Amino acid sequence: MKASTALLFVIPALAMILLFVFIPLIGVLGLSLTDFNVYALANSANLHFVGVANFTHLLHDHAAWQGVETTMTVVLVGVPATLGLSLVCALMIESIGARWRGLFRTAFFLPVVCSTVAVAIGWRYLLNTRYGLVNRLLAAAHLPTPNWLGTPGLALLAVTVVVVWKGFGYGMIIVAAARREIPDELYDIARIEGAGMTQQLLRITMPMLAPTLGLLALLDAAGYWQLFAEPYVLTQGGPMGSTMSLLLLMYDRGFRWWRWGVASALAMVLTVIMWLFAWLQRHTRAAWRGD
Amino acid sequence: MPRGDAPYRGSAAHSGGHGVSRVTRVPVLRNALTLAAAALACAGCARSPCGLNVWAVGVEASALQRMVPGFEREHPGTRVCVANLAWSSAEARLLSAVAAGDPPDVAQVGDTDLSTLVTLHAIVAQRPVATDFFTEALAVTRFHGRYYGTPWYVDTRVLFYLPGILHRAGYRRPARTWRKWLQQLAAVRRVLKPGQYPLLAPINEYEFLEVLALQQPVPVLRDGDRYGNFASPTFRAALRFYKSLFAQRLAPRITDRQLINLWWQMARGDFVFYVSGPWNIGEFRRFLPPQDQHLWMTAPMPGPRGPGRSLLDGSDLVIFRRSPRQRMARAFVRYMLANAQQVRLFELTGDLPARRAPWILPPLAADRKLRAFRVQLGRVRPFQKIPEWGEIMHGMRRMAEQVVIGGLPVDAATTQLDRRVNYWLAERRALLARGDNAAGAHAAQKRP
Repeated sequence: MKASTALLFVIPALAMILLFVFIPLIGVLGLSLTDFNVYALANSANLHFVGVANFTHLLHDHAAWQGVETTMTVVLVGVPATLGLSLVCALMIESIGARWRGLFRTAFFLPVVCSTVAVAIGWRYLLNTRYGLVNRLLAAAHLPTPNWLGTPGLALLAVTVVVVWKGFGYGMIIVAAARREIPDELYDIARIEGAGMTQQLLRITMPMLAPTLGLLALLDAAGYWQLFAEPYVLTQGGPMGSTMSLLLLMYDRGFRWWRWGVASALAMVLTVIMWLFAWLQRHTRAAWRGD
Repeated sequence: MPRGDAPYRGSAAHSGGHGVSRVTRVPVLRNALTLAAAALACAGCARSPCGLNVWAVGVEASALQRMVPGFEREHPGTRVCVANLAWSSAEARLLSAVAAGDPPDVAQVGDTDLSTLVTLHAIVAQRPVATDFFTEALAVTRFHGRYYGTPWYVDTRVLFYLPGILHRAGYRRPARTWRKWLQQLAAVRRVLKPGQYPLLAPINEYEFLEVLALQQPVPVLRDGDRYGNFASPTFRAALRFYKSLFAQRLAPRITDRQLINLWWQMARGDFVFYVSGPWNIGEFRRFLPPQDQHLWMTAPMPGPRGPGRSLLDGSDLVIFRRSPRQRMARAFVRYMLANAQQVRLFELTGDLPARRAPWILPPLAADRKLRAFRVQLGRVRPFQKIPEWGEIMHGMRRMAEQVVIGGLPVDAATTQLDRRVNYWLAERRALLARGDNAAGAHAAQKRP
């Protein structure tokens, strides 16, 4: 009786997931084994089964590897930066008085709830070579004023900065909540034992926050692998494909050039990477719970 | 920078109506909200459902929205709904709608995207609604001997420039040959301030390089558009010329996304030359105040040797096969192609009429800034009508980026591009080998 009631509650959600996740996923897997393109759309006789040809094509595709490199760079630079900023800001707002806490918390969290597209357009103005605020400040300090969104390395840096700036507020809220969970007694004891601020931070705060930070790292990494809107608005993947994330590349191949075979193969690669993160997240959580 | 915000002022006016869900939590306001919702709903039901769905892009969509009341007056009881798409995603939206079996009745389609819709059998052939279309424009819509889509406006690229600064550099008018133009650009740079450039050629726009390529005698595809031909000596010459513009710092290595406001920036002298299309006539008039209108002018394209050719592009109005309102759709297309509407479209957007008759009517005949376009339209060359054209042009643009920013040698870059283009055209070659019409029977068709 109890089990059937539970099932009743679960079925709608399961049906949704089946309909909107698993069935399309099987469809994409099927598409990734074909050469579906604009000619196949016109006449299904032009649709052929090509086996893993799309995947081997991707292996030799410079753009795909560049996409992997770009996305990995954002993950490897962006995740530590986001975590660091989240941590510093969380500890800061928890240590300042209640009067200012609300203000800072709102200010840091604001980018998270802003529309990504609007935020990216704002950054496009800030980073404008001639009129942008960033270069104006650099010029006032007699520093070189680079072509931010027109130079490959700098464009990727700019995209990463926007991504981090947009995302760290979320982590900050989580870390701040976790920090509040740490019992004050621990700090009282530490002070009585003669531990200084640094020691309290390294011996109490950091170890207690570690599971939270680990979870955030995985969530951020999973999110950054799906990077799309920021480069789409800021650079459209340029210059020289330096900000072409995997998802943006998939969009280009699929929706723009209608090469659904290759685009689906890319989607499958991304799916596998995402599964890997989901698996990691489950297992690390289990490990932390274990001890 | 007050004028910098101008392009976006229009859209800001439509905001509002947000924050409703927040209010629902306040019980006192609940009744008021219900009333407001009811009022909104009533406003909705007073309007009849769409009698004709039209999809258009950007400024043309805005223009159409202002032109449909006239059509609705002529067809009482019919409400025309115009959806406004963005150029960057218009083709994707249209193809998705076709794939999903839910296209609109009528759509504005760029010339480059037309062959894809024909390949998909998504649109119907139409008898030309007039006899005075520009020959090349009508030819673009011709597939298998029938006309798919009606040319709505034509578009070619010319030089937009600042005569004042050109005079200061010692020239009366823009040069007619590449060599002289290079000298002119160098002279112009000497009278500019630091941070200003003689030429704007955004590295994410392929049209300028496409024009340079079209000016060459050898096309960029060969053997009936089966293989890439970018490694030809003539395309390489065009690419070298393009590269030299950046190498000599005559043009900045920026994308159009890095512009704050093109028209305002040009009026300040940030860029003196810009290769662009007729819509910018309207944009310059809209975004610059009357006292600044004398600052800019247009001129035909210079060529490798003497006056150069330019590309022919434009948009067509197409009717979808699935539309249950074929008669109304045809009436709509006919209405929009009448003299009065062609002139009105020009007034609203700067788009050039695809028919010749409106050109001799007052607003167009009297316009000095249109002269360059009229001259250029006599020297145009259409592109290859194949579904892969857009992808090939974007491939060319990415290759040019590698050359301009990445320092890739021209010869290696063009050979690489040919390899990529040959891969994209593989399906087309296979279809043609099987004698399939889907790839476009126009393969064998010679260009004018």
